Amino acid sequence: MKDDQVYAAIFDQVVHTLEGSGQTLPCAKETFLHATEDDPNSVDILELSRQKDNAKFLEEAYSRILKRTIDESALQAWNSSLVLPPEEFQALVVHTIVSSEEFSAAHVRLYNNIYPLQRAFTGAPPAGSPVTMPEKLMRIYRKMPAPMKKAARKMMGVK
Amino acid sequence: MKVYIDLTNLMTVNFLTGIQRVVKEIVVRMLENKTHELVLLAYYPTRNAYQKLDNAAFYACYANGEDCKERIRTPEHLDFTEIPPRSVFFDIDSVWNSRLKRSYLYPLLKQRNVHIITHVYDIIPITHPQYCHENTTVNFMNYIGAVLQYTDLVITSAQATVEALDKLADSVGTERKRCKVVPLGSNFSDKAVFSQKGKPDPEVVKITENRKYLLMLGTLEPRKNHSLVIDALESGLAEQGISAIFAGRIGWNVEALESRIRDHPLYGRSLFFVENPDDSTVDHLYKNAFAVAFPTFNEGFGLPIIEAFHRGTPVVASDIGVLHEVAGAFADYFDPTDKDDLIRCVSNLLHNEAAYAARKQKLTEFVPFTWDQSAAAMEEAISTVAKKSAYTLKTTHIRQMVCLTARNEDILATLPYIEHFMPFIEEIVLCTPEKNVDELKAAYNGRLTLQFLTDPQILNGKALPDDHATRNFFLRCLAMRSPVFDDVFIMTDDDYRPLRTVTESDFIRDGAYLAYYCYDLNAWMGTYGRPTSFDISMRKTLAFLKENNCPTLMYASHQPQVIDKHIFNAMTEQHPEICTQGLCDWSTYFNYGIKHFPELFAPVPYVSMCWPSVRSDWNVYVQPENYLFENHYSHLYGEQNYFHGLHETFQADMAEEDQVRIQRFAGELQKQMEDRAVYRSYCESYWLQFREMPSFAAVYHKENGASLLTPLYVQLRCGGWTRIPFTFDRDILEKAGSRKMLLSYWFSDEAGNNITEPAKYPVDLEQLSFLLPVATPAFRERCVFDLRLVLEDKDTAASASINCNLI
Repeated sequence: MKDDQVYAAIFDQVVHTLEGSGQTLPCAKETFLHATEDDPNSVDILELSRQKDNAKFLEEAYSRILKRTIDESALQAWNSSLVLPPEEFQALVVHTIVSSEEFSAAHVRLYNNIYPLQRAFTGAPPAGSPVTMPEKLMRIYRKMPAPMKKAARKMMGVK
Repeated sequence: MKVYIDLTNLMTVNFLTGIQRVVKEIVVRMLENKTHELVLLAYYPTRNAYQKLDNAAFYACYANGEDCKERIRTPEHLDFTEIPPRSVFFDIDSVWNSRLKRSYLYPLLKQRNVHIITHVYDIIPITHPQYCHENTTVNFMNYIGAVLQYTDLVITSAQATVEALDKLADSVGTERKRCKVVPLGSNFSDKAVFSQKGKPDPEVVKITENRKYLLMLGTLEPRKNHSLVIDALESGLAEQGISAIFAGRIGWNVEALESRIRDHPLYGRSLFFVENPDDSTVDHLYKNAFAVAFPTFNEGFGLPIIEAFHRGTPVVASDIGVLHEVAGAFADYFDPTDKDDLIRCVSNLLHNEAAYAARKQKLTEFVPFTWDQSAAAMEEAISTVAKKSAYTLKTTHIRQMVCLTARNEDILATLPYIEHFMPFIEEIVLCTPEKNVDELKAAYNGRLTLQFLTDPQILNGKALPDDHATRNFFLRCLAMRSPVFDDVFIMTDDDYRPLRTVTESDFIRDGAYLAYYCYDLNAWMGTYGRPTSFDISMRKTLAFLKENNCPTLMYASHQPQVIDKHIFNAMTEQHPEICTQGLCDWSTYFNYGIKHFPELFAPVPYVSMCWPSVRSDWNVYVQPENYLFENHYSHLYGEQNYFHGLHETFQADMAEEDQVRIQRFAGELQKQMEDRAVYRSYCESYWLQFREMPSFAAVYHKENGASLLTPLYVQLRCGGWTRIPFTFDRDILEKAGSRKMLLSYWFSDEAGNNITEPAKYPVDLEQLSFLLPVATPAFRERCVFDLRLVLEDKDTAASASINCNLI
């Protein structure tokens, strides 16, 4: 039997027992199973961002970044923001968590943070360039002598 | 036996309740007994490693009550992978709440064949989650799932817990665990820890004077059922002159209960709450109680019961199985859902002096289990953790070597090394094409007996697969059935050369086969963009091992290894399909062996030089501590390579030259370590600065399509090779629909002139997380690291230019 099947069976059993006493577990099976695969001090935000359901994303963000289930008061606080578009909501959640004292004390390392805080800190332009240029233009650019390249970059506003 | 104990939780709290008290009593005695060598640990999240604790300071603090807790943690760290094979990892603390989840830790320990022993106090969060905090339940689900899969031995305090665990194993479809019941002691040490050094709280003493009270000791939590006692007080017990004292910490989800207690009209008259009592106060409360009440709905053991017995105090307890097991005929029982039954039970003792006296008299017959006995029983369990299987080592003497070879010149060059440095080898079986045999016979005249097993003899009409890895495993599977092979032999390749005298104890030690590993298959990235047959074989092997719940270390260490053919054949009988799947034979065999015969294998870091051959090949996962073998590559002896000028063939006296060889190779590896140290240090400072790790990724944006996520700056070692973790967003494939992409990088100066030629890597759609091998310019200066991703089939691209410090 594979690891995830064992964890899934335990999850089902607990949820079933809780239902019998009229309670629920504030953690989806998917979130729980992800947590069983997690490294204790790192989280990949790019992977986390694949969850496009805001409520589920919130639950997963707490589980994987803060390593705990989301508490009732936090859930209520986020309730009104659940209607935001996913990317906006995700950025807000990540920024809020990362700015918290709990996160600082947790020493969790974020990888592939597509919602980086440094922009908010430094006002610097986004790291990397989302510039997308047809390959044909790039071929022409590459053949240019250095001064022309410099001028072209200046014109396009690219460093 | 070396025993590692994670005491993270005990080290975090400043109070000692049930489990912490148990941990303290057991560990202190294990330190006193010295039956095992203890290594005490606490998790250190900043490094994601263990921090070693100072045993003497721990003892001084927890046994002698000295105020020295801050001296217990040492600056010494221990990575999880440094816990040696066949040692014991003993979990006795409340580890389910630890950040270091057992779903992460236990598989890592099992990779290295560490024995895991877990003290499971109860499984209430699984059987009765309604009584537990949701965080505890979720954490506990993770913990118990890992216990069911990876623990070698479970220690419980009661048979009832074993039965609950068996039931759980049956219901989730895992094997029942090997369990040992060790009752807990009751004689808590006289010396108080974190307390007022031996004197009970005078306020509490005042409350207990001239009062008949029921004591409920333990954290206020729903499962403990404090409400029943209050109900009973209201319904007549108080009128009968009985008070109730609750003593313990305030737990979760008890706000209503706490208010009910503190706002109750009887509060301060017949109802009292003593928050966080110290050991001396607890002792006083026990000794002066009319009876201890234990109305719990469920329990793992019920330590307060035997603590009460130990002090001659009667107990009225819930009529549930586990409490009958612990208290037997020494307690009176009531239905925990019926306050009238509790009243009846207490009244019987209250109004019948003879019955009360008889009950107290009976308690003098109670023989408490002491902590000395508990600790001794646990130590004995630890000593016997290694399972004795029906299969034992076939021999400790090895005389035969087996080698697959198709190249006569290679094996002929290697044989003199084996003759000279491996004196215990008498015979070598060469599995070789038929055409090679005559030449080998004619050319070799050394002391080794040569046996030949030709391809037609092995294949017996079967076709030989084309792929290198598939061919090797297939041939070995077939050859393993040959009567020519000894039960236990050394498997080698024709270019693995011993560097100095090697003995049988380098292969079999302390009753176990040494299994030399070089990597974790989960971490193996291979050659990016151009996966070799070797890389593909590693991926397939990992999939097979995971599917079969085996450890996943890589044993393709490019050095000779000892093989027990019966275990190899057992593996191929159980999984006949693997013979033709192109798996890595070494990794499949050893991981299978460790899973099924753990007592027969000891995984140890490999001892082979030139694997990798040069620092730019791949990042070393485990650095060899010494070198017994050379994985011979002829090109390393060429001009401009690090073995240039050294002899490439066997020389009678080559000890000095081998030292030079080792130094040169170690120097090559050192350069890789330095490259990686610079990058690691950059990552750390970036993390401190920006609260995130520097990351390189190709991501998909709805508006922009593919784009590159990069850090604000990067720091690399000049003239080196740094492998930069790179991630590909699956959405680029799924949403942008690209199937043909090229990732390239180059360095340019601040004026935009290229300093290096672009290095190009086709994106491997099978491997979306990888290490991008970056060769840096040889000079130190600020420059720009340019990255470019071209979606060749979409005629679009994304670029990023990152400020780069070369140091």
